[in-house]
Order: sequence, then structure tokens, then C-alpha cells
Amino acid sequence: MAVSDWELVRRCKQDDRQAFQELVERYQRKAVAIALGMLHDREDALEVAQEAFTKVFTSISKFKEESSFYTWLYRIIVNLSIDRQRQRSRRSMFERHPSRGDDDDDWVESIPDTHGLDPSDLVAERERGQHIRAAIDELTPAHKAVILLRAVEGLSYEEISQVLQCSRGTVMSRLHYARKKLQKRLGHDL
Amino acid sequence: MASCSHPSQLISLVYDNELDEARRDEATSQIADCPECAHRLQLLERTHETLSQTLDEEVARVDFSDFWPRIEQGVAAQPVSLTSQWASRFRLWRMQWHAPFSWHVPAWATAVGLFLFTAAVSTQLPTSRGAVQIPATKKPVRVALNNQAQIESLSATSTVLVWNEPTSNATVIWVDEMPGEELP
Repeated sequence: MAVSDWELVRRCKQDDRQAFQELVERYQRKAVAIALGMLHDREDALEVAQEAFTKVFTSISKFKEESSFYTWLYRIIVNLSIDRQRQRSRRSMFERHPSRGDDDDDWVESIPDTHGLDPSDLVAERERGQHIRAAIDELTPAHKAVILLRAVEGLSYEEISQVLQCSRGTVMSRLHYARKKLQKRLGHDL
Repeated sequence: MASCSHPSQLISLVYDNELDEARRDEATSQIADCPECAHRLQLLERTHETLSQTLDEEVARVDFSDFWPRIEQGVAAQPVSLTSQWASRFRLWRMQWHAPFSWHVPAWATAVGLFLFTAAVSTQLPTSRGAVQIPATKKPVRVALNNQAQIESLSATSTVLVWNEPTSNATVIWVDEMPGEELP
């Protein structure tokens, strides 16, 4: 039987590194998925997720266990991703981001195993990825966060409101807006 | 397609499973009857599928072999201030006590301890104030006093027998509080 998050958190508070490693392994994919959705850059997403886990470890004794561990973790990731995005936009005013050139489409390289796929399917897949990236890029960080937490992590409105520290009504309206915008932008890709 | 008058928020609530059972049933039948609502719901499902599929594929390509070692390095590089050390020690100490017991348990233990202490003190008080009570027994009381006045006062109410033990060279005084009983 898998150990619960509560138990692992309790052991982490007693400086148990093995419990912390178990928590990291349990949530690393989800953490990277959120950061990747927010930042659209693999390296940045990995760095943000690692920074988030480091923060989790150093401040776990302050975690009051009033909410779930993952809502706390996702809040840290979303906040760090927004900070990273701000830094990046400030930096891009002076220099071009090396990994975000027109030819270096990191996120769009997310085409599944290409073996056995028709070249026209590959092109279509690549185009679809580009469209999704462009559509998400047009959203504000708050709208990105809400749609990622719902679509990728499957969080309820209540949980999203805990992560983003806003009301349930705000979650509903942001989600509605983000979906409308995505549907409008993606159009025939859906 | 004819525009329907149903609120689009309703589709989201149905899709996100955020309605109670009664309202969900009502909304589901409404969607089934309205082609535009059904289309919206389908569009919503496809939007989420596309998004999560794209991200899942990207995450599947990420190499996580170096993920934990880098976090370990990051944790080790964190400066630990003296204050935070003491604060975390205090929190751990509090947690150790808090985990097996609730706060009311030590409170009850203290209350019971205080009660027992008070009871013990109060039972000791009469003995320190009054004279030592010699319990009345059927057998004669052995008084180890070699005091003539004491013997005389005792013999006024009881039968007293005094003799010397040759082996220990001690004087033994038998006081019989129940007259008529045979003395040794």
C-alpha cells in the first residue's frame, strides 16, 4: 500500500530525506507539466520544478497541513513560473532568449514516437503543437494557471481556488474565459 | 446552427463535475436535447484532450534521471540560519508531543496529578495536627514506656501487667482495655 502524502510530509518534517525523495518522485512529472505549460521551455520548466521542490523542503516545517500537499506544491510552482516569466520578459527586452528562437521550437518538439508515423501526420502534429503553444501564449499567467490545473492536473474548482488563492467564482470565470480563448484560437485543430 | 439560450457556463459546470446530482441530471438532459450545447460540450472535451495530450507527450520526453540529484544539491546549498534551526527544533519538539497526544491529554494528566497531590497532602494534615491515635484492638496494647506516672494513669481505667524480660532486659507493660479477658 502506498504511503499517504500526509505521512511523507510528517516524515519530511523530521528531516527524513528518503520521504522527501518519495514525494519528489511522486509529483515530479506533474510539477514539470505545470511549469512547462506556464513557461513553454523545457529547461526553464525543469529549473522551476527543482526550485519549487527545494523550497518545499526548506519550508516544509511551516506547512500547516490545512490543505493538501499538492495544492501547496502547485501554488509554489505557479508563483515561481510567473516570476520566471517576468524575469524572462525583462531579459528579452535586452537580449533574445537562446532557447526560444524561431527555429528552436522546444515545446513543439513534443511529437510522440515518430516511428511508423506518416510524414503528413507528423507535419499535422507539429502544426497542432504550434497552434496550441500560440494559443496558450496568448493567455495571461492567471488564465494559463487555471486551465492547466484543470485540464492537466484535473483539480476541482475548490482546489484551484486554494492553489491560486482566489474565490471559486474567480476560478469559474477565468476558466470560462481561458477555454473560450483557446477554442477560438485553435478553431479547426479541435 | 441556431443560437441557443442556455448559459455556456452550464456546459463547463457539467464537464467539470461541479454540479450536485439533481442539477447535473437536469443539465445533462438539457444538453442532450440541444445540439448547440452538445457541440459546445464536445468542443470543451476536445480542448482539454488536446492540451493534456500535448503536455503529456512533452513531459514523457523529459529526462528525469538528473532531477532528484539536482534537488539534493539545491537543498544542501541552502543556508540554514541559527534562528530557523531553533525554530524548526521547537516545531519538531512540539510536533513530537502533538502527534501521539492531543492538547487535552496533558491537561487532563496535569489535573489528575494535582488532584492526587492534593488528596495526599490533605490525608497527611490531621496526623500532623493531632495526637497519634492508637487503634483499639482486642489484643492488649504493648506500651514501651518505663514511666511510673503513665502506668498509674493507665491502671485507673485498664488492667496493667508489668514485668521484666530476662533475655532482653526490657520492661514489658501489658495494658488490657477489655476487662475480663485473660492476660498472657
